[in-house]
Amino acid sequence: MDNTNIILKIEGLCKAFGSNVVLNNFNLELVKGENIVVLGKSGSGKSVLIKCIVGLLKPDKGNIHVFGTNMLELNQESLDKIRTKIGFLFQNSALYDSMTVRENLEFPMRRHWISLTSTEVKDLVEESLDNVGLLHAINMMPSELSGGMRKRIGIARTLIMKPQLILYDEPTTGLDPITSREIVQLMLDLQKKYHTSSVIISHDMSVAKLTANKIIVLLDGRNYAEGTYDELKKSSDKNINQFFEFAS
Amino acid sequence: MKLPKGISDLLHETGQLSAFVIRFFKEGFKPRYEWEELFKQAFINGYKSLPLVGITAFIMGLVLTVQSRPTLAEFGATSWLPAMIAISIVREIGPVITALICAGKIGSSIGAELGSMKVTEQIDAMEVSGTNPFKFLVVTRVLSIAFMLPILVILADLIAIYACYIGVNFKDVVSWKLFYNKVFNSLEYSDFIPALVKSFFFGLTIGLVGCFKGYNSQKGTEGVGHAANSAVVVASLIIFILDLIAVQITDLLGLN
Repeated sequence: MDNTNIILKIEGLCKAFGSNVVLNNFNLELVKGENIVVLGKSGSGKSVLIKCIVGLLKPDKGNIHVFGTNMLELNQESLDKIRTKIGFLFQNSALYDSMTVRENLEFPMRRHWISLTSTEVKDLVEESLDNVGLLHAINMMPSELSGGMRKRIGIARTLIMKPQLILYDEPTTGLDPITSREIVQLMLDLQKKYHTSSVIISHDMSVAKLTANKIIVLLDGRNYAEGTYDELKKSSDKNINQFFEFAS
Repeated sequence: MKLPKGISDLLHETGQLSAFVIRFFKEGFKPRYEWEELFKQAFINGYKSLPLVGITAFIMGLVLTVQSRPTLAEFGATSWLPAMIAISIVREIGPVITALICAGKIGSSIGAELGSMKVTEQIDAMEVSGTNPFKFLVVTRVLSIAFMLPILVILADLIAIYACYIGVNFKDVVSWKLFYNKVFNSLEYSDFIPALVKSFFFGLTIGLVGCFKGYNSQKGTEGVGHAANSAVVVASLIIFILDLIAVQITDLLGLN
């Protein structure tokens, strides 16, 4: 595999909270344009994994290379810089409650793209909202939005900095099946448009089926199994089967 | 020897608060400066607190005047009333009561706001967008309160002194000019300056404690309530301790 195509490489990642070992020698490699779904039960350490990737949590051991740079060796300034190339969609969207939708989207741009004129900022915000079909919500407050709308605005905010890597933390949790499907379709459409790569944390098999080029089953903090959706579906391992049984 | 849990928790929290304060002074004066947010917070914490501070100051001045008059009347010293009330208000009651009102209003609001931002991952979202949430949220709030509190204290003092004028005129007839002369002839710079300096530190305390409690809030919505509540309790307690220290310092400097 050409190393320049590797967007994210995780080697031997370990993380424990006291005596509770969450990640134990976890490995992952994501290439350009690929979607990896990390599948695991609640509390299996999926969210800890992506928080380690983006530097919100410091792993105890291991290496995380994003775009060829070791995230664990960066100073704060360099970390902030590389973070602008990484999009992160939080489970509950994490929109800033005290800001309008417009201000939510403008917030990262005003800090990193200082040279942009007001017109350029306005155009980018409108383009991003148009992408998620919520241009009409531009002046609304997050408290006025439904769960699905919040998720879409979260995606718009994630995409506004034109990231090359997007980390999705349970993108469909708390949504009805129809809205979930719409969100997944939106993720795929936007990936096609912006040529992004994604790590998707989920326990929702429909998300895995529709988005994953590869699935990693996270169990006991390690890569329990890896493969495509169809390969894992054929597995006779009961720990893997249970995801498919409940999905059906 | 193992310390009792209450004491070790207190020491642990004091250590964390100290580290938070050190971080504030380390990061607070380095660019990038969040001017827009600083002015927004100054408006919220200063201007929007004025009605509450004003009403409290008015009642405080009036009540103090009405209640002090009978004692002074016994000694035939009611003419001392304006000066006595003014000195009490400017030196002590104005800064402490205003700080306590602000600890209740602003401290709890910051504790709850940052606490809810923490539990809903908004602070994490800010961090992953490459923005320093400590500078944007903490530094701006703390500085805004530290600079707005002395201004609020000056306004509260003026309102309370005016309420004193009204209170004096309940039983006596005193012209505004005479009242004004009595008040301002008795006040000196050594009454104002230490009061304003300690107000600045009261403001720093309210901001730092409120932000510390909110920023380190845990355990979901329960933690948010706890952060708001303990922000008020701890800030109020520290305000009294600082007041005690300030009195000792002004005494040592011969300003009393």
